[in-house]
Amino acid sequence: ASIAAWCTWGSVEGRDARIMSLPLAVSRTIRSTKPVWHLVDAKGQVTGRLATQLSYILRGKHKPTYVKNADCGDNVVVVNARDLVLTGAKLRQGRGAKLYRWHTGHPGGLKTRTAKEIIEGNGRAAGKPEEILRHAVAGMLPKNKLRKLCLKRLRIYSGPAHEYEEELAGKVSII
Amino acid sequence: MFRLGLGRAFAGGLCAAPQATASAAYSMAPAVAHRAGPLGGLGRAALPHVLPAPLTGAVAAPARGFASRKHKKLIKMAKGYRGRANSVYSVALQRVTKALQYAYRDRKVKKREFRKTWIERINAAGRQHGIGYSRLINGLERSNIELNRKVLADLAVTEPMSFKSVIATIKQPK
Repeated sequence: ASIAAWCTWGSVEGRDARIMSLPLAVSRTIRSTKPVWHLVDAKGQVTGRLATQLSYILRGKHKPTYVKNADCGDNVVVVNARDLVLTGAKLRQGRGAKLYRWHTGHPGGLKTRTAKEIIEGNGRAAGKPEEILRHAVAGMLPKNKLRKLCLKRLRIYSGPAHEYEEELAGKVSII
Repeated sequence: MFRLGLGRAFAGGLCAAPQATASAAYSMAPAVAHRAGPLGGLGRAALPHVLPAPLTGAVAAPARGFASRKHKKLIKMAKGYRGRANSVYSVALQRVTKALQYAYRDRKVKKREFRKTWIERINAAGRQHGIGYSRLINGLERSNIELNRKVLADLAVTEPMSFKSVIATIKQPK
């Protein structure tokens, strides 16, 4: 699916012309559009390619009222994250595995997990397939003060159930 | 602020040190004349035979030069700055100089930033109608539409129907 499919930005006719008279003034622009909720079924989607589109929407870049210095993005609910696809050898162990590394700050604290471990969990920790997608999207957002806010708008569920029935009110998945 | 601390006002601004000493000696003389100490002994010996008559009445002379006006002006420009930069001249001078440099530079940068924002918005609006920025601009060129990016971005936000018709014009085969 293309970015165009996301543009359910809403009709313009109802809006107050006075508010729109200074579109570059941040407060007026933000006030004029409420964030829209989107539903995405991740089943069978390639992780990175999906993350690209998600980050675009989370920032609000699909809107003509986009402003750089404020969070003007939309809310996205992703379901079936456990059915996300990692192509190639990434899910394997050993050679070719996708590795997630981070440092805890303590000496000798470089931790390494393979993608498989993160999805399924090892003996000690539970599996968190949502984190694969969240990590991907986080890496695609600009590393600034808005990043956290944008990530908050992204809600990922590993299965088909989610808690946003009201907001999503019978919407069909865009992707 | 008029300096009357030496007991007398001086006419005409700066005074040389010897006069000050003489006057000081003059005004101190009655007090120390009786003392046996060094100042008492020397004071009497150092008194000139003819002392200049001090002026009576206040004669105005600014105790600070005119530099303080300039300083206050600059410190006023440094309102809201952190630490000593909003109150101390020498620190404020550095910060304000930098601020003015940034202002000069950013007046030019502002124009670039706005154009960037217009382009981002035109891109988003165009994609809503199925054309990305690059193709849209190309279409404008070919259709001889001379609307600039500022106007287009504004149309996209405030006059969406007009924007839509511009897109439609572009999409027409020529």
